[in-house]
Amino acid sequence: MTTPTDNAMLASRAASAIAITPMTMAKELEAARAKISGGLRRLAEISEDLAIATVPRDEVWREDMVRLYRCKPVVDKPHAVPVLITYALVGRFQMIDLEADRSLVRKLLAEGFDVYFIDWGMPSRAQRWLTIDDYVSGYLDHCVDVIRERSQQDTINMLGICQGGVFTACYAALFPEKVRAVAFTVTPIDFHGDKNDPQTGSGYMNQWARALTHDDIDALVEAYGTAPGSMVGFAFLMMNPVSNLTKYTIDLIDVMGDEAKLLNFLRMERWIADRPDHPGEVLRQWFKDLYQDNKLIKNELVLGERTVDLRNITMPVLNIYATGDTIIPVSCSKGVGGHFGTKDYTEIAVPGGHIGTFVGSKAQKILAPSLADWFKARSGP
Amino acid sequence: MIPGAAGAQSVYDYWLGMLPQFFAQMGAAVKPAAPTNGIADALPFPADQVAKAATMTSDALQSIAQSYAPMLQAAGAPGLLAQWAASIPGLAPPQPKPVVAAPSAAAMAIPWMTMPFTPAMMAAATGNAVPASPAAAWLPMQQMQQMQKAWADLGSQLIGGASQTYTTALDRTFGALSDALGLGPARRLQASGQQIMAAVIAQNEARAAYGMLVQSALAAGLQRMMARLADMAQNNERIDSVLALIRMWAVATEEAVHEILQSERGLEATSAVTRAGLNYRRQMQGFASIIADTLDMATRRDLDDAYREIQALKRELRSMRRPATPVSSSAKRRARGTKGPTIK
Repeated sequence: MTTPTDNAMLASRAASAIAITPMTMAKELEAARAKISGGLRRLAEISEDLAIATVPRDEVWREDMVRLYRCKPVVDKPHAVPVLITYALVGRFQMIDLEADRSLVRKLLAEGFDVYFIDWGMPSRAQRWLTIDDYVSGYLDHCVDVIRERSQQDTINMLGICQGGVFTACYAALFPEKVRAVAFTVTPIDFHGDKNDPQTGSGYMNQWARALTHDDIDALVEAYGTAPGSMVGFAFLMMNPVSNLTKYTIDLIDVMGDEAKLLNFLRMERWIADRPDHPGEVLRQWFKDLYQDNKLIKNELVLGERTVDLRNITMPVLNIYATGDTIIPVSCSKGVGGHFGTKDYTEIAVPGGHIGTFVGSKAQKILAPSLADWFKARSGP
Repeated sequence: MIPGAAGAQSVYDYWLGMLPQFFAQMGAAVKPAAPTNGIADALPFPADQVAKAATMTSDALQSIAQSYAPMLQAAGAPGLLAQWAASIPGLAPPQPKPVVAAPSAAAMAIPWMTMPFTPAMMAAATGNAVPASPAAAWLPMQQMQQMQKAWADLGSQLIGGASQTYTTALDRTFGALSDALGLGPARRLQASGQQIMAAVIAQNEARAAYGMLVQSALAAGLQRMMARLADMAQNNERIDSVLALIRMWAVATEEAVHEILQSERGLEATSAVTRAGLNYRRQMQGFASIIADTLDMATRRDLDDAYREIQALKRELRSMRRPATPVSSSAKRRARGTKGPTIK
């Protein structure tokens, strides 16, 4: 317990570290304001299209709001075994192709892969009853079959991202005969991993979900039907409330002063703003069965009438996690190899946070090359 | 307009609305909606939002420059820290007193600034503004009372222009008979309105408890920053940038916010706010469904039932989908010149 006297002494000692003078402050803040003015002029002159996810592609299948796209290959003879990328429901797939030089998809295409990805679309109230099983055994399985038929391959490679990684893991366990090799990126497998390694500022969603009861989750789903995208967006913003305020204030100064940074920032904002609503039944199962009861790693998760047994994942597994991931704590992704049925398990750490894995400059140098090398080694020429 | 931008707009509106409170922590006065000289209006989303945020930041920096300069001149760094600490109860150092008047208590009050998760997101999702003050929080209750009265009057009109007094008297006298005459909805609405009021009160209590927690996190954050500065001083390190100082405050405060909200009492408070918010929403839905039922309009439950049935039919359809034939076996069949099994 600190007393006013303690505080006064602390403040006095702290003050002696501050060497800000009226003159230096005036100069600094004037320079900052000049940067902002310049940025505002740039904003007014922006003529460049801020469109994201512009990789050339063809829609090859659709059902309800879900679309399957095939990216146009950039080599004459792509690798025979296609790669299907499955993103999460809580954000849009555009993260994998935010802009030309920060695009996982384009990097994989450049490596000679035949790349497909799923756009889960924008679920409406009508989709509130969709379950994880509808996504995994329904849409995802249909997509895989379409790709198998188009490519004339019995098995394909799969790459799951975050929540899409969980769907992919479920799929690989339920339909192993259709999967050649599977890669997970920033994917929670052990939803209680953070319990053994609690970190301040990380895993708040896990803790919040566990602090609620099953009844609370039911009430949440009943009250909302589909969780509005804006609510999901808030959930992410509120994980780091103060730094998300500095992001739109003092951190914005440097962004406004640099055209390239400003365009990157705007594209990222555009992606962040585009949050789909989340089907209620998926949310219910996600929170109760996974966040609260951790059924995936216990091989107790039931989809439809089938139990997801991770030991059925006998194909090669690559697991990529981000060392600074605070949304999916490292301890929820790392060291889970023993739970799969495969003997070919590889784990790779990339620097940066959850989203930084796909757009961070350091992570970009590791992610796509690692995926490409790993898939190539396991699916032939 | 990009898909989902309408929902995102509410997130930006809320978030940018917090910037004045953020800067108030630094002692800068910023208008909630800073004019952007028309720049923002002409820009596409989300560039318009970024322009708004940047303009507010620029105004805040000007305000900081104007208020800090005389303070630094007169009282130096201690004056600056005193200004910051003044916003946190129990942390204000006794001296020296800042020469510039601190922002008003209202400007310094930031109960919603770092309100993680549910209160803010629910408010945004439902289109409800987060109450700016306890008084504002009572507004929905007043509106509810008016709505309830209007509905009771409407109920009276529906049965032939009877006055509310008559309705009440009839209800008291004949009890269940009033239901038979069609007054049941009014009575149910009255009960529902009372439940909503109770839910609003419970929600305010939960928010207040939460606000206290956030306030304590802010105090802890400032104290943490002071400790870091003191360590710097001990190591003969100096900080000569206001922006760096603000960043230091932000980092220290974020750490404190995380620690407190991830603690047991933090999670309990968050859960309590979540429950209270959900209860309020469900009570409101109950109220609306009484009206919809009475007017023979489809309720959300009716729609949900229809959607559920459609989804069940889709599942049935899916189960009839012919599984893709393994490529290798179909290739073998083609080589043998045989056909695969016919699936009906």
